[in-house]
Amino acid sequence: MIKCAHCKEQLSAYLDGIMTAEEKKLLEDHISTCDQCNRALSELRKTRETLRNLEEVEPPPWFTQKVMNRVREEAESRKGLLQRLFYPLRIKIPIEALATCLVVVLALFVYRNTEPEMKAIHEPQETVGTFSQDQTQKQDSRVSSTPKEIEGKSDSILKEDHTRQRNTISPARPESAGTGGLVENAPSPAGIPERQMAEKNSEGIGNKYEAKTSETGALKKQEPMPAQKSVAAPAARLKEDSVAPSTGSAAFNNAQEAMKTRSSRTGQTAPVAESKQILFAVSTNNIETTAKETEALLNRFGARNINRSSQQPRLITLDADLHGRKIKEFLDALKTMGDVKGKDIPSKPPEEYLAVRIEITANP
Amino acid sequence: MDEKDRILTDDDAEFVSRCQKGDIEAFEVLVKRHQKKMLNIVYRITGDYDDACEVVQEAFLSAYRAIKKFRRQAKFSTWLTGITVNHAKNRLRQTQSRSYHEVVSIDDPVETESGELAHDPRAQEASAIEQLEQKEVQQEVQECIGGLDKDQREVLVLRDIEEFSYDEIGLILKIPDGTVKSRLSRARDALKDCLKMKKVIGDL
Repeated sequence: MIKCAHCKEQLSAYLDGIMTAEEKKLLEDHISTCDQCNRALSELRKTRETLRNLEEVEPPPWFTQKVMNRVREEAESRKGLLQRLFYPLRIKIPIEALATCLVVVLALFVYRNTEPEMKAIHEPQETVGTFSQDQTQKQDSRVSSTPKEIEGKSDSILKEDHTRQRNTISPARPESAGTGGLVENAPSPAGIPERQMAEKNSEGIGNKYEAKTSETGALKKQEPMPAQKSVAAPAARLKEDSVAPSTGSAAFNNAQEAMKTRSSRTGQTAPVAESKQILFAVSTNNIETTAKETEALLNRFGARNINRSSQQPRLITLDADLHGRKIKEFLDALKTMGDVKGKDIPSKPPEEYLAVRIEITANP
Repeated sequence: MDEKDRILTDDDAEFVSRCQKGDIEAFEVLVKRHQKKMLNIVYRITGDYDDACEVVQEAFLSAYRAIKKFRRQAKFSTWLTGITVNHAKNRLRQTQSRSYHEVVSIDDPVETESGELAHDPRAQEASAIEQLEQKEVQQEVQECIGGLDKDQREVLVLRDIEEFSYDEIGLILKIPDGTVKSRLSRARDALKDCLKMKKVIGDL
């Protein structure tokens, strides 16, 4: 015989018929004699009945569609990664091609617009470049004998680098530093180059004409005679000074010679066709000052092949190649110096260098 | 019933393998086939019809995501029920932490359900009083189910409402047979007491 507590534990299993025949027999025997367990069994039967009779709920009519929509979304997003890379190509490729074309056109446009200006900046620097190379070679051949001198030189090169960093636009820097180096090689006082450098630095950054004038100094120093070298330092400084309008014409002649030499040496700036020559006639009280100022002006506007000649006492002629774009600005600047008359000035100057002649005549 | 289940399994198996090859239409067949059962399981566990609809959707989505990993060691329906019951349990956890008034959450679905019942031909045949009585009984039973603890509820719903076998329940809930048996016994006793108290049963 089993007890009621054990019986009640078994009732659930009995209901489901998951008992051995022996267990079943024992339980049934107990139930037949025990009202309490018998009632419990009936109640359990009734409970199960109630549960089985619970109404089933129906899914809403849209249910399958809703589920499938979400499943399809999921499937799309999973495939999407691969598909998105390839499927929309027919839209993407034309857009990308168009964008590429646009970029190329833009780049060309920008390049074309800036190119002449770049040339104007780079041209003098290049000539200078060839120069200082020559110079350095010569220097090397001379300097290599004494270590002390090399030390001094490297020192000056350091300074050169320094100044270059400070003023990358000015093509004068390497040249001036070269001067410093050379002077130091010469048995002249060691303080000079430094002072020179200082002067140059103070002379204002970005002055293009500085390049030419200091070249002159450099040219002088190329002569190998030590005696001349020591003289060269002050000479170079003189040239630099000559940039200022007040300095004497001797310096200018030197500068001119230098320019000629440079042109013939490098052969870089081809002379511009004479047919396009533009003539400016300037009448002024002091032709010498005006000539210098004009020359400075030409330099400032990036003119090349500046050539000065004075066949008559009251006439100085300046020939130069000036970029078409600068013509107008140049004319405006020129007008501040005196009475200017222009001839053959094109209203729309071409994007190239034009031959310009400035005739400076003394006022009667 | 075993025989019937086996045939059903074979039916599902075909669609399952098509599904695993990426056939979405095959999955739709499976959804149509099982959605009602899953909805009823979840509805009885959570007691909220709208919640149940959401949970079953989520469960089907999870099943779709996981179907390639389904190795058919069990029947598809068993596997799907396992996923669905898990989702239901999670939902229960969320709603219980959201509100302590479970009775409130049970009240709403019965009304929703009554709307569904209106489409049932049997319910239409029944008289107004019978309908009302039936509705009340349904409500009381659902309340009693809701009063069980979660583990007992699952076992009871799966066994006495959805009539899964002990083995299947063991697979679905990942618990041994002995546990199924004892849990079910306790669940039935608790429900019996609850129904007696509410006088749903007792006038024998």
